[in-house]
Amino acid sequence: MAEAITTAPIGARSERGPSLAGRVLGFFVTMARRKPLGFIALVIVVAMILVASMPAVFATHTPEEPAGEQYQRYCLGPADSWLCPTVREVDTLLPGGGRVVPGSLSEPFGTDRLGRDIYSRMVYGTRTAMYVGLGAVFLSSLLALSIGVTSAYFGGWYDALVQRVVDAIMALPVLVVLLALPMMIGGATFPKLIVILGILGGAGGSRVIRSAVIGIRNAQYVEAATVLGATHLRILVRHLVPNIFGPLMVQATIGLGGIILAESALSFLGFGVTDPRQPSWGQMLDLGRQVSTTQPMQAVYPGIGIALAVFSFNMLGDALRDMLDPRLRGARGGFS
Amino acid sequence: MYQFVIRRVLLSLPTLLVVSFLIFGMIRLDPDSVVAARLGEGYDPNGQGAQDVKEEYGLDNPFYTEYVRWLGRIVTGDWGQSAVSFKPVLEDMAPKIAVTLELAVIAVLFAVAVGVPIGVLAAMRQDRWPDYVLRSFAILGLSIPGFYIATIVLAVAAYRLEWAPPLGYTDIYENPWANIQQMVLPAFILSLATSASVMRYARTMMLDVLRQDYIRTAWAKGLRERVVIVRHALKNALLPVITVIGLTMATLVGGTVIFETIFTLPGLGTYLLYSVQQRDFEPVQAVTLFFAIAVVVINLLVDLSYTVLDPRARR
Repeated sequence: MAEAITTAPIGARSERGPSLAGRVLGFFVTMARRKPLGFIALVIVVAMILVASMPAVFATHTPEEPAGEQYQRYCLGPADSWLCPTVREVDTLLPGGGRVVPGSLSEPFGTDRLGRDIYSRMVYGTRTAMYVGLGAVFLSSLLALSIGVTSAYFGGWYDALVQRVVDAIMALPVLVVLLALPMMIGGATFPKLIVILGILGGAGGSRVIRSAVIGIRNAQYVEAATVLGATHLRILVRHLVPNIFGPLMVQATIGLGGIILAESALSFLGFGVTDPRQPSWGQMLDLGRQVSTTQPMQAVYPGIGIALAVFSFNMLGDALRDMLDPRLRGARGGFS
Repeated sequence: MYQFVIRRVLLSLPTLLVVSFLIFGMIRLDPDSVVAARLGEGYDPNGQGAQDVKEEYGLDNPFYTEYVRWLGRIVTGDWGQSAVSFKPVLEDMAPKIAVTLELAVIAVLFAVAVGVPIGVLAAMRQDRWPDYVLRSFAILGLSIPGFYIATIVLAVAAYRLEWAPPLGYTDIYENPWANIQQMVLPAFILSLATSASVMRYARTMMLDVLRQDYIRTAWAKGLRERVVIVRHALKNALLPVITVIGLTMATLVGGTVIFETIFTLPGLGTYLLYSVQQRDFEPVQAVTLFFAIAVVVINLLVDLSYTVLDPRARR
């Protein structure tokens, strides 16, 4: 009996601990239990990213061509194969847009003024929103991280100088810059909008990161690393950055909602990217507004897309904040 | 306290300087597209027209001499000339500032008038159904874009009720009643997002205060709820709320651009859009600069008034 105890080391299980996959799964299970609304938001976000990554599967039409002539019932593979059958149908277009085939599954939301299927354009609009949103948020997170961490860690003159620049960028209303700047650099394109939104968002985000780093920069483990002769770079990358991962994620999630909102507002005003193959929800809302006296529903659908995306990212950010970082309550994403 | 005021004012000067530099630098990022925008398709990049445009905006000179010259002009009140109306930009802007200001002021008033009582009420009934309902509305108000709500309101009004809200703009000195009628709807919808922020913040602050000892003392003295809330709690809870107004100012300014467009108000926002459409660079720079200065100044005023109102913030 005594041998059995010695040969089976105590705590062999806990030494290994749950795997990374297990920890991630555990996080989501806890989230579903403690923050049901945040979990629903997460499901919506994942669904939107799924739709955005393969819009052709979900759309019944292309976003740029008039519907009615032909449409795809579903699309799971190459076009015009048995995985993606194209059906031809001759329909009449109603003036001002309307249902081409009333109540049909192929145009559930009807068509717009130019005869394009609204549902399919919404699907492609999801891709546009996610493209701009994720791109700008990636850039702004990188910026916020590098500015915020160095500014808080080094302090002194560098901090004072950087903070004045951050102040100045935060004073610029996002929508005004989005209107003014693309005009001066040769018209709006998605990469340009992503860079502008990324810089504007990064400045605001760096404030949050900075205050988070200020909270931990005098922690004992940082001191220990310094004593052991770690370089600044090593302390920044190995000790400070991993410890502010929570606030960074929250900032990015809430920022995403704000960025989608800003892009929609710009497109709504008619100054966004005008590429028929990349429709934006804001642009569709503007088109719907123009016919809203006769076809009010056309303005309703795209707005639901915007509101749902912004709502989900806000709720998800709120839930993440409560779970990852209780210090941050109160901040929130908007245009700025 | 004077020391604080002076320090705070001085601190906003470098910010303003950087702001002006950023706005000045925008036009110099890509000189060729500035020339192209002014001359239109098929221009001659080496011709006289291109030279004239580059001269007009000083694109060939080194940026530091040009920046000093530009800043000097801005400080002395010469904000450039419109290439469309051939009038000084400030002269064009002056009547439009009043419209935007009125819209923003009414929106802030709405935001406070709606947000504060709702936030206080939610805090008084924390974690009971009024709290949940009011908080859900706040999150909806933050998520549903104002321009969407405005579009739907106008569409429903026109389509179902066959009623069009009074669009356009009447001068307030000419006909105050018509002016207010035109302003109320855009200002109210514009204020929704801000009032949601104000509500959430007021709730948090109120919850903070309600847990303090002197409030427990007030309850223990047997004071009625109304007295505890209004006399004791409100004063301390509401002071920090004014800081939210400073924080949401940049958002609000962006919002005025949208709502002036939807409700066809001749403010700075519509002027900005018109100038962008006309590729008229100096008004665009001027309006951007004006908005940025306004945000900096309002934040400064909020900070100062907070220090004046709250003795604890003075150090």
